[in-house]
Amino acid sequence: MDNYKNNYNNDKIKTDCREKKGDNAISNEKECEKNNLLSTQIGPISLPNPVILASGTCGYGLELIDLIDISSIGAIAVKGLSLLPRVGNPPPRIIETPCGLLNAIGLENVGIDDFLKRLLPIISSYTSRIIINILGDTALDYARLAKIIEENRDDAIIGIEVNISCPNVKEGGIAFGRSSKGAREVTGAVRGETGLPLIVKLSPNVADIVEIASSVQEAGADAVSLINTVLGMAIDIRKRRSRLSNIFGGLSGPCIRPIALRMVWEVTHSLSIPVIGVGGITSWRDAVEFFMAGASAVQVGTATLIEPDTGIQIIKGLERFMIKEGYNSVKDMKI
Amino acid sequence: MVYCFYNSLLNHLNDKEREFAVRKDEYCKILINKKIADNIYLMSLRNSRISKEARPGQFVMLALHDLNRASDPLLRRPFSICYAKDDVFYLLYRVSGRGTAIMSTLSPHSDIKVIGPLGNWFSQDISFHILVAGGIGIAPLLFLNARLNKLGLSSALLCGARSKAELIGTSQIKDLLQADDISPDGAAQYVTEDGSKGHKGLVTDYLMELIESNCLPQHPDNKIIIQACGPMPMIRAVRRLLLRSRWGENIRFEASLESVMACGIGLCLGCAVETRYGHIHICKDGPVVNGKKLI
Ligand SMILES: Cc1cc2nc3c(=O)[nH]c(=O)nc-3n(C[C@H](O)[C@H](O)[C@H](O)COP(=O)(O)OP(=O)(O)OC[C@H]3O[C@@H](n4cnc5c(N)ncnc54)[C@H](O)[C@@H]3O)c2cc1C
Ligand SMILES: Cc1cc2nc3c(=O)[nH]c(=O)nc-3n(C[C@H](O)[C@H](O)[C@H](O)COP(=O)(O)O)c2cc1C
Ligand code: FES
Repeated sequence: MDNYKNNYNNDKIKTDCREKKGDNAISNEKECEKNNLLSTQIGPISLPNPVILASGTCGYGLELIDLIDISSIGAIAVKGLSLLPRVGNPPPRIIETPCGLLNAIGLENVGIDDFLKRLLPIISSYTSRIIINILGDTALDYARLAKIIEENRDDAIIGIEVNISCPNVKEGGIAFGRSSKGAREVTGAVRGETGLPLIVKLSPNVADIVEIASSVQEAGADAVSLINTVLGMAIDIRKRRSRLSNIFGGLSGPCIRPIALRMVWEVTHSLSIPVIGVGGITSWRDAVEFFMAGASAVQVGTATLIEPDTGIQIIKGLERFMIKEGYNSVKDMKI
Repeated sequence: MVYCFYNSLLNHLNDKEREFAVRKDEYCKILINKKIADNIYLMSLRNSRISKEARPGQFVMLALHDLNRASDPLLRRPFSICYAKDDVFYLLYRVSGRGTAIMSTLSPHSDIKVIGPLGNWFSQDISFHILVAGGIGIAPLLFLNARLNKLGLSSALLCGARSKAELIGTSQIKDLLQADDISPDGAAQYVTEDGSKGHKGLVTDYLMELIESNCLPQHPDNKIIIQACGPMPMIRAVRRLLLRSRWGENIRFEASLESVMACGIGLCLGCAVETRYGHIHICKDGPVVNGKKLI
């Protein structure tokens, strides 16, 4: 193992581990030594491993605690939060498509206040690395959300992830993330209110992903995560109507992996901003593809819904692969 | 006393009484997977934890993609537990699409991944229970029927189907499972739309007659509950019938609902159903809900 020792982030991780609640601090420390190989830096964010659970597919983290040890996951990105609670779309909200999942949840969430006051204290006793995903109708909403998070800073909040795939109410409902202007506006609004690490989550439903990534980088983002779901639909041919109450839905799962991988490659090969790869990752092999395309970390979404321990399995598989192939860090995998 | 893992955690803050059940994702060995009627199969799986913890109304999520993490079919499928004994639990399912077609071809001795037991359960503490099953909706009610018999609570079991061919007889399952606690055919009421077996008509019409007749215990201390599982139009018909009936107010109504589920464990929020309380999530706030609050 010594060959692979990477002191990059060692002390920080050890501290992180000691801070972890519970009485197994010592075994945690051992766990961390082992994870050195996997320790990851995404701009200002340090993680013991590069696997993050994607927003909207791990609830608020709590729903997983009896099924997996969420403290061994790199970080969790909680369900997207808005200023006020949202009820989401009427059912049906979920349709299975070939190797994919079409969803129109409609951004249902408990609202930022309830999350910070009621849920965060519980979740932070299970994991010390939480990324807060936010969404809004206007740039001002995003700014307010960032301000509220800033005012309620907690050690467990390691960053804000901005979902810019939401309709911009002021611009006729076209998603912020579909234009450089919208993406820049939202990123700038959030950056103006917080010093926390800022990740912007990009929508794939654009002509030129590099252009959008470059505009959010200029507006002060520390990293980008891509991709969010691909806009799609399915029709019930007997009822002659869309299978989703919302007509369109967001496609996720293995069927979008090649699109996600291509977009990650485009961004990492044109810009310097760190990229978190998301889209259809179900195994460590899939994750390795994203690292080879230049991703600094990965997020696992739909796969967790089906196999709750996917994230854990990816961490284990990745470590085995890196030892076997002699990689010192995930960054080394970039081709 | 609604089981909900997530809410129990939240209740923790309010220091309320709560119940925990541990959910796990485990391989279970298939013991039997057998066709018992047109398109209807019975599967038994070995897992003593699920079998011991399961309560009538709860369900499991079954992984049907092959074990080396192939992604087709992508999502797990939800199935109610239709009986549990010793270290075995049973599922009764109707082949209705690709997933259930694959399921029907699985051979005994193979292992499949199962998360469970999930969701809440039917009440089992009322003096008189009327169980109303529509088609495959009989599954969780068989389990309930067995538990009520064991507890010595009186119940009536009403089974509806389109025709005799689609009707699932309780005796057949009782024999297959060697389950002494399931009521025999003679103790159940069968209703078919074409009259090919039992009463002719809709199961809800029969229920109406039963409620309006004087056969039910009418004493105010004798509480009555209707517990139903079946197609949504049937559930709605039961609700309407209770609203109209002069006895409606004194009769409680629990319905087990279905909804498309991506996870079954509270992660995706995909299983929402609209009720008079607002949206509820069938996998964690259900599948058993207060039927009177449906829309
Ligand atoms: C809590 C619960 C308990 C259930 N218990 C039983 C049972 O005991 N026996 C039984 O035969 N069936 C039961 N069902 C319905 C069963 O889950 C569906 O029949 C099954 O998922 C169909 O899968 P498929 O691939 O064959 O159909 P497809 O139509 O190919 O499935 C496509 C997608 O739609 C979903 N879907 C299709 N029909 C239903 C449905 N009726 N309810 C929910 N999701 C559906 C599938 O899960 C899948 O994601 C239950 C459903 C729920 C929610
Ligand atoms: C049910 C569901 C809900 C989601 N909710 C959110 C959300 O609230 N905010 C967000 O930024 N992304 C959300 N996503 C997108 C995922 O985080 C992820 O970007 C996408 O699903 C692609 O990854 P995957 O193929 O691994 O699922 C959601 C995805 C799914 C399937
Ligand atoms: S099915 Fe995913 S939350 Fe209910």
